[in-house]
Amino acid sequence: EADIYSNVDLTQSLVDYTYNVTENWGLNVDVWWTRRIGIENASDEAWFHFVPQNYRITRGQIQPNNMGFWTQKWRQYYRYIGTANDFLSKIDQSPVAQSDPERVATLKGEMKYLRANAYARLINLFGGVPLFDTPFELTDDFNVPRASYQECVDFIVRELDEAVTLLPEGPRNGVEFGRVSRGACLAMKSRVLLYAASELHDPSTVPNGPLYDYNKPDKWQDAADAAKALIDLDQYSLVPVETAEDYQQMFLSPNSELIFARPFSPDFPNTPNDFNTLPDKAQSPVGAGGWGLSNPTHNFVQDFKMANGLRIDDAGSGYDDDDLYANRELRFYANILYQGASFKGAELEYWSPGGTESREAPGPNHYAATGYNQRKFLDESIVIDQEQSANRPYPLARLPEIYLNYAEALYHLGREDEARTYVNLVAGRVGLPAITTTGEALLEDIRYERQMELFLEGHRFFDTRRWMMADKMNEDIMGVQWEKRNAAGELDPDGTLTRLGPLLIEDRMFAPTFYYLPIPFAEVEKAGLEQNFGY
Amino acid sequence: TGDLPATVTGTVTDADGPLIGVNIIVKGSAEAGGLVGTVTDFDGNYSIEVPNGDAVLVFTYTGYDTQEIPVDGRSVIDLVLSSNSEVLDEVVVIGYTTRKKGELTGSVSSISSEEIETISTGNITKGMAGRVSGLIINDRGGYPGDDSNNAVSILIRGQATLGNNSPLIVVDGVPTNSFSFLAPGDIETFTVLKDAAAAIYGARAANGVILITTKRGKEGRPRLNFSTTNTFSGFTRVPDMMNSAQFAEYQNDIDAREGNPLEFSEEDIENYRSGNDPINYPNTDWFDLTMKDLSFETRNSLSVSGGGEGVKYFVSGNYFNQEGLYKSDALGFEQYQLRSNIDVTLNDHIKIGVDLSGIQGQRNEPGAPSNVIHKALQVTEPTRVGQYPNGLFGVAGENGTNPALLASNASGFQDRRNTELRARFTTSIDLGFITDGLSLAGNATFLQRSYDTKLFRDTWTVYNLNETTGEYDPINGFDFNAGNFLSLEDSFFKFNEEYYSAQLNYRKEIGKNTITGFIATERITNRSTSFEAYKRDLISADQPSLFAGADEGQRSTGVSTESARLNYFGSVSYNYDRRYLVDFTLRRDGSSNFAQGNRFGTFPGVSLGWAISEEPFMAGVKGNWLSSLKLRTSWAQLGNDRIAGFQFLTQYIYGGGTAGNRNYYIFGENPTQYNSFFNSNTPNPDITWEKADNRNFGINFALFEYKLTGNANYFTQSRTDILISRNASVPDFTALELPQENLGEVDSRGFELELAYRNSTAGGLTYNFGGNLTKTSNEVVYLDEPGDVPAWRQREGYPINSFVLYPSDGIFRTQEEVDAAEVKLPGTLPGDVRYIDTDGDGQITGNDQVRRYTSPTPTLTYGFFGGFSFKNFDVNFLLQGQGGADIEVRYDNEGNRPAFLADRWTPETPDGTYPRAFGLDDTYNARLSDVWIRDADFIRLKQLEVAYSIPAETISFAAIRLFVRGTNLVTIDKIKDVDPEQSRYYNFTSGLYAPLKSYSFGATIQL
Repeated sequence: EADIYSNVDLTQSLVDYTYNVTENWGLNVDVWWTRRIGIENASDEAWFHFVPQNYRITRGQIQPNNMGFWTQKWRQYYRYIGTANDFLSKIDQSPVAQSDPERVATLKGEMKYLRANAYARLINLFGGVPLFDTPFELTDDFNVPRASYQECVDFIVRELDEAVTLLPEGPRNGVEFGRVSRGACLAMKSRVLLYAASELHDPSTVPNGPLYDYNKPDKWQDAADAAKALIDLDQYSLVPVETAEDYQQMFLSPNSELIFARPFSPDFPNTPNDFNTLPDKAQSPVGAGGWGLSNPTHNFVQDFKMANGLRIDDAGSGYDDDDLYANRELRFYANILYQGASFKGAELEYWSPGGTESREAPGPNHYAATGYNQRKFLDESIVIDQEQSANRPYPLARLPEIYLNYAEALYHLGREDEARTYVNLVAGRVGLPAITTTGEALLEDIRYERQMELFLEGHRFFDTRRWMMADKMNEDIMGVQWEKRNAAGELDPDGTLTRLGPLLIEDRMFAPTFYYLPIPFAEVEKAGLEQNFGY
Repeated sequence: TGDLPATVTGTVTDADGPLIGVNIIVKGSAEAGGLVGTVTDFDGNYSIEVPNGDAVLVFTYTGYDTQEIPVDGRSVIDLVLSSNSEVLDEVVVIGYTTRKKGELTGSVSSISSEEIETISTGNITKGMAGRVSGLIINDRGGYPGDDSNNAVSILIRGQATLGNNSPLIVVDGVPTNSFSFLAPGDIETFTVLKDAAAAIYGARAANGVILITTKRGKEGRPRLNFSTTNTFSGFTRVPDMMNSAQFAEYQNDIDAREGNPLEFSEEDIENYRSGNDPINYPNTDWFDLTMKDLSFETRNSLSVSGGGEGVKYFVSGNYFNQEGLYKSDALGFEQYQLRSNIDVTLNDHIKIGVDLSGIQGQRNEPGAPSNVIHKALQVTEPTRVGQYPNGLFGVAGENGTNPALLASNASGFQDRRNTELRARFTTSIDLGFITDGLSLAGNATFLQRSYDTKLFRDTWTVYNLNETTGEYDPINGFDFNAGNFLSLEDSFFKFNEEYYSAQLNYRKEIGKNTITGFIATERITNRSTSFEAYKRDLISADQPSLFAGADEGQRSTGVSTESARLNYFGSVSYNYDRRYLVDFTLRRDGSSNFAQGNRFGTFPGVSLGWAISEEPFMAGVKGNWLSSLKLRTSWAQLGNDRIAGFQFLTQYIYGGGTAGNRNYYIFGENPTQYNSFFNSNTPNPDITWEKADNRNFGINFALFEYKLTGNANYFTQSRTDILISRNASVPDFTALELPQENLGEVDSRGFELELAYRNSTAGGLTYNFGGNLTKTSNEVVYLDEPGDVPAWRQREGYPINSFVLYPSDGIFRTQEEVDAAEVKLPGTLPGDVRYIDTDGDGQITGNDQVRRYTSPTPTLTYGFFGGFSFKNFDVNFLLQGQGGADIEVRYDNEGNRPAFLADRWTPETPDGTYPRAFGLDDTYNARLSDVWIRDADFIRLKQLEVAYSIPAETISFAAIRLFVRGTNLVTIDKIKDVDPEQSRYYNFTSGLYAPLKSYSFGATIQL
């Protein structure tokens, strides 16, 4: 230990370990399936083909000792809070603090961010949680009460403010890409304050009480200021997009709008099973050698606006139910694979009998039960199982989110003009006509941009909750299927293509209990923690 | 016959060869005034004049059964004497010394070398089950060349600790890790030390000690011994999986329950059931496609032993080859062993022993790991084509994971070579010139063990019949854990150990007083080195060498460790007239596992014996019906240090990690891996040994001239300072990487009983039978528990092992029952398990789970044996059984399922045994409830042997014995679906390669 804190390169390795607390493609690294798939299947973005019921919360089946895919979340975040607490309690008295004060300041800033990040994720999932910033000893009393939600938010914000002062100015690019920057801290602060200001944490909504409430008169102003602080850094800019392909490519390498990201290596890492946790294997359609694990839902597909900016059921939208994928907005083509779409130079065949993506395609049942696969994040230039995308990072914060955070806060402050300006930066970039709505309709448009722009980036699950969209979370998941039949009505690869459905894929259930996860049963048993509302 | 004097000649032997100096007298001749007798010569031959053809010859030999043989007019009488296990002068190997049986005070069981030679299981440890009391062995599976816990578990007197319960194994004086693959014919003694008798092994002895010595030469002409055992083995039981129609119906039931689209139509199911269209509606039995019914195994041993006054030798060679049960023959284990034990008597004072032994084994396996193969065997849907009629293999599963190909060299290979070289030099110097009875013994042993493993992962081709074109489209198959490319991993592990001991022995007899003792010291140092390298994208499958791999993705790593022990110990024994006996032992051990100050421990032991039968007041009984009676008692303190080392230090681990705990991170626009450090444990500076306080009360007896022998023991052990981690009470949010702490306390107790009866009739029939029984129990006195654990999950006051499960009250049979139930999981349907609301809160929650205090470790084990020999035939059997064991038989899977689940609740079969169809991690039925716990009690015909010895009249130059033998022939139990002896059946992750049932034939030839 003395060696590690005497050589700043070794000290840095302790910080590097804690970086693993950041999110990635998988919901959590400890569980077989969810190393490969993320939180998207717990929202209306997608549906997990194999054991969808294991998300539990989508069916109202989650219990403190039966948390399905959520089982390890609590333990995982606290593991890294522990390593951060340990580091931060030792670093100031360590030899490296004397010998390399500048690098140590940076490392401290990184650790503070990483710890704040862990707490931010915990409070989103659980409400107020036990909060501590020093490491435990074997001899300690482990009966620690949960802090209030507001205390947790205050702690996170304070830590991020401090981290900003410790970190170097400017984005950290080149070999430092992936390291915490001031921008990363400000982005986290913006998100945390936006969440805290949201309806879910208003004392008037159920569930309420200290574990869930955030009650500050300036909460929307604070949220707006936090977003504006990052915009004013002026270090990031939107990537220009002409075509759907441009948009798709944008996610395959570092770029100017990426504020913070988790890098992935093109080498096959030496941890077993890792390479197939990346989206090419996990998410490509079965005909291309993938597993197509997260199937985008028909519900979500039908939420895409038309290219003219209208919703499909708006009058004059031009939507044609017999040609339902025509004339949608750009992000539909960039993000979704559907019947007839081209992928890796071939047309996708979701139809029976014998289509390349059909249920009877050779091999196991990796066909897309909803009729869709994702395209976002997939690198069509590689050979699956043999290569990895060269430098595709997992985005943890992008400038469009900050614009949308700002727009949402501005809306709630009644500054609709400015709100429209920022939401239009995001919508306009993908070629949508300028948004001119006001009031509720403007809020809907802001939410729409958030839904589409941040697709599969781990936001939707939390956004639907903080907006208290109970109906949305209760909505059954639908899919489509395709068949070719000949004149005699028999299945025939040379027959005519027809669509079946929408078909019910999952009967979802929601109640106010499920705004939060339960506190794991064992933790309640060991430490006497207060259980969450309704569990 | 008549009255004419005649000469009778013959040879007297035992299982190992001729016996020199056997006394032979004509019965009654002494009383008649003219003793007629002789002794056997150097080759075991004798010649005696008998007064007439009706005379009876009495053969007596120390340590052997006395036999009376009527001459019956014969002129040649060859005799095989069997050693008498309860004769008081028999020498028993105990820790660091030997004792005559009559001098024993401790609780010691042994298995004779003759008995061990009849074991024909590939892993001989398994063959020891049921043979003596106190030794609890479970056959957990028959994977070739496997001596890990997956294959066999060994306990002495049950479980006494929450930590590691493995006994210490000592071969020829040196602690080692396994004896599973020693050649049975090389083992001379096999002794189990169960109480204070183990105390001389101090810090490592708390779980008991198994001592093995190998054979040595005896004085006499060279004897050649050849034995061959040839075995056909198959699984005791094969998990019967659902057929296509059963699977399709089951899957549909799940989909209906989950609200997912149904996968199969009624027409599909009908087509599967009819089986008329094996290409579009296949019904593949993946087990049949992959596994064969019987595999062949052979073991052949040749030894030569003998010696004169100066030099004695035992030299042996052994070849063992075990095929696996994969049809592909890609699985097998082969082993060669050589051993040379030489004793040289330099002069009256100095003897030297030089022992050399070498083992070389090779295990071949397919490239796909066995868990992947077993996963494919179990989950691959029967509705997929296994093999087309033209011989091409079907796609089967994910990425063409057809189990028949995975379990073959199509998936590559993993070849592991293991070698063990052992050189042992011993000397004993008679120091009688200093004082009478003093001697010095030294032992230096050098051991090198290495494993050399090459894992080559290949890709293969499966086919899909394209109905439109009628062509078989090739598809590349691969195991996604390895990747869709060729790769090679070469690894090497080497372990070296040096062992030195010096021991000063003393033995003195003064009148009826005998005093013996020794003081000794030993030093063990060892080091291990490992190295591993990996490359991918090899240029071709014909070049499975690292040079042929690409640079991209290559990696290598290596680790070295060293450790040391230094021990001092001694023992003093005294007996008066072999009537009053006392033994003291004392040991001081040092281990590098613990911090300075906690490093050395002292372990005393004392045991007492009282041979009541030797008392003068017993004179009337002794020799009448009582042959011997001895009471024993002992007490000892022993230790257990089997924990991960260096937990007293803060440890940081650099790089690597697991999938769940990655110890690296990637940075840079040009991504680069940065290995990291993490603190892998919170240190516990106070960590030290577990302590065991052992007590034993025993009785040994022999009745009717040693025909009936037996012993019984009652024992208790109190284990304190048990090393456990406080996982149960320390919350996860503390992020403490818990070290082990000396916290737990467990009391255990039990009794053992052994009985044996042997006799022979005047007609030449020799028979024996007997049994043994061990009953153990344990109770947790203290351990780490959550702060407010409810009574129904408490561990204190209950046995160590338990299942935590949801108690149930059967299955809901009807909707009315569901409706009427006040407490149930929301959404419960008929056919779901009816859980019990233990805490009475009106809901089924985690708090309703209870502990069931049973486990796969039996509390009762027993063996029952018997045999008889008549003229040239002999038959023997061994029954072995267990009681008080439960195992989990639960499948919580996607894909195919075992057939027994087809007997389930459906609307048409509301009385089905199992719950309604359920998918992976199903909320209602997949959770661990008592529905999935099965009673694993069994009784098994472990061994049955019939042998014929070719009479000397037919072949005079050799003693030939032919035998047929069966192992695990019949099992009577309640589980039926799977073998009851494995520890768990849970998906494809446990209960993989079942135990084996085998049929052997062979011969032993002695020249």
